Amino acid sequence: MAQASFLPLEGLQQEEQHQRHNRQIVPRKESLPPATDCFPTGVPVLDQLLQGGIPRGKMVEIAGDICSGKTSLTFNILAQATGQEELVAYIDTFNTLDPRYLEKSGVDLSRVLWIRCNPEKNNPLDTALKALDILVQAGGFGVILLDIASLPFFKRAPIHRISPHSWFRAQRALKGSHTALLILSSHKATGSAAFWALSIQKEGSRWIPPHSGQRTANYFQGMKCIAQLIRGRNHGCVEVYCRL
Amino acid sequence: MSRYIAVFSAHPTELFEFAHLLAPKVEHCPPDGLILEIPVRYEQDTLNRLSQFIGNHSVQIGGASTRTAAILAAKNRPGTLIPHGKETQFLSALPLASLTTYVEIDQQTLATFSQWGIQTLGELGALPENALISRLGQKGLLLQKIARGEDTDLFAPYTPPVEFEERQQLEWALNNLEPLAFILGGMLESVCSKLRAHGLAMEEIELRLCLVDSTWFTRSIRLALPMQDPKVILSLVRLDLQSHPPQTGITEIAVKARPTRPRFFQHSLLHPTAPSPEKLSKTLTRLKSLVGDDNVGSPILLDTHRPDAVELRELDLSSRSRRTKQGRARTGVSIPGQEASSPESAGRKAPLQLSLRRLRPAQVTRINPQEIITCAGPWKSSGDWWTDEEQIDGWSREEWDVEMVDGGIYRIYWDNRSRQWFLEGIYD
Repeated sequence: MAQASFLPLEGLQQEEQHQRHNRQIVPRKESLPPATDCFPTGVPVLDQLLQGGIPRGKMVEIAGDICSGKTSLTFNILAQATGQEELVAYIDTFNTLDPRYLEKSGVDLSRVLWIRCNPEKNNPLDTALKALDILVQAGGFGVILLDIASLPFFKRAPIHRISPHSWFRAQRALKGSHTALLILSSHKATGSAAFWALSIQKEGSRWIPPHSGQRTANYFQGMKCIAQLIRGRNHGCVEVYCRL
Repeated sequence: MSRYIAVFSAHPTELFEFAHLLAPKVEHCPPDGLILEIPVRYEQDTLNRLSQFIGNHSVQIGGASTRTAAILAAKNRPGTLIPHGKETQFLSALPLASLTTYVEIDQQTLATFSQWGIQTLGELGALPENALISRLGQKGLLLQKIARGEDTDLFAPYTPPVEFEERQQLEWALNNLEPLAFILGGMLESVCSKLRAHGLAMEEIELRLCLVDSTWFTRSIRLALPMQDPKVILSLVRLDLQSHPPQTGITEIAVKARPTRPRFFQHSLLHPTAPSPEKLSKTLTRLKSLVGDDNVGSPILLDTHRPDAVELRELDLSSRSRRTKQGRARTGVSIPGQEASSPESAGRKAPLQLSLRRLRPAQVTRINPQEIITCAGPWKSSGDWWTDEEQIDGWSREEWDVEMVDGGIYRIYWDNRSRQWFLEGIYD
């Protein structure tokens, strides 16, 4: 008969404390789609960080303050999507999209559905979320972009008041579809509903210096941004250059 | 076997209506003739009823087994019924000039026949075909066939234009959308089945609702693509009525469809799946009812230097891509033989195109020089000063890029007309 080994009470408490101390917080394993089911961002180092790019069937948030380069990065992702003959829906909550720059970024405008939420008339955030609901349920779009990045002049845009249920409902509707949902915001809004969340900040700007005798710069050339992955399996940051 | 009866009358209108009662297939020969196609056994009966209807009016009638012979008989020997197989024999006795009652012949051809000594249709019909074609061409062969009583044109029966319309009067006024949708569903089912029977699809639907105050409420809904599915059309009509409801109760409903040829889509095995046209149309209608008709569509850049010159048009998946070579190159889409993201390019820092977030409308702003860190400009532009509506359409401005102390880089401009600074957008 095997004899049971008893530990003294103090020893047991120490063992529990030791185990608790050494326990690692393992994030919930969510299956990562294969690289073929991703849209590249157009920035190779960022694609490496994101393990292929923007995954289909997932929600990805790109957040950044004004003049951070988030819009430029997003337009580049849309260009990659339309380059693959995908249909793109752009929910423009505050009517700030300039299609001329969209085309300059390489986006095929004939494959873009632009939805302007008309901020002068109704509550644009509510309208944008309803439009998002319609588009997600309809399916068939390669990328749906919800642009809720407000400008500093839209004081009445309470992004933080968006119910988390809205994001989780969209996340559930996306599951199994081939649509990637991009949320473009001023600050992180989707919480834990997003699969990836990128935070972008401006690092510096580049101006071509003036010729001798001139008071002003010659022209504005571009800026350097830092994109940091703040939610996801990896962590890290990459430099992104935007040129006018 | 069919027989043809040709009738020519000075008052054709009444005769046309009566002829449609006598025979299912009637061809109209403008301006005053018609041809009936009837089975052999009803020939005598049809002629008797025609004679009773005509009475004392001057009418030319002829019957034969071919359409051509019937017309020639009616025009040249009114009241003649040519027995089956005797057409050539009967026509051979007619003079050559009788051909002009069927087809126009120029004087030169008639003179040629006269030089050849041909006086009757029989003589023309007896000429050797090859020799006739070598001298007169296909025109000579056509005349010879007519002279023999052979058909040169197909019998084309008249088909009245089909109206794809349904109308229903109600016993009491409807005030809710649900019962209206129930009735509309049945009407649309009927219209769509008619369309399918004719191999057509609906391009536009006109909905007319008679209101309690005897006024008509009309909605015209143009479908994104030709459709035949009544359920999809009903949901589009419902969405439209939700966003544009009638003011009072409805006492009568009329639905009219504008038909067109159906469009068939061939999905590609190589391209990604796009939403089905019906589903996309439904989605667009729902979005339009949410944000307004003018706020949904595909952006089109206008061919002008005017800032923010953009239009929205219907998203059309069938149209070919408007992508330019420049755009394709910039996106880095993989081209056969080239890898878009090769290991060599992975470490390269390729710059992105910097974008502008635009303020609509541009805001009047005050510039404090103390808050400006760097600026570049001005870039002057103007346009449309040559038009009549210069005050409305014309613009003249000086653009600047400025970096402010808050870290933002802005596009501002000085409007030469209003003499004010405007904030146009933010580089982001």
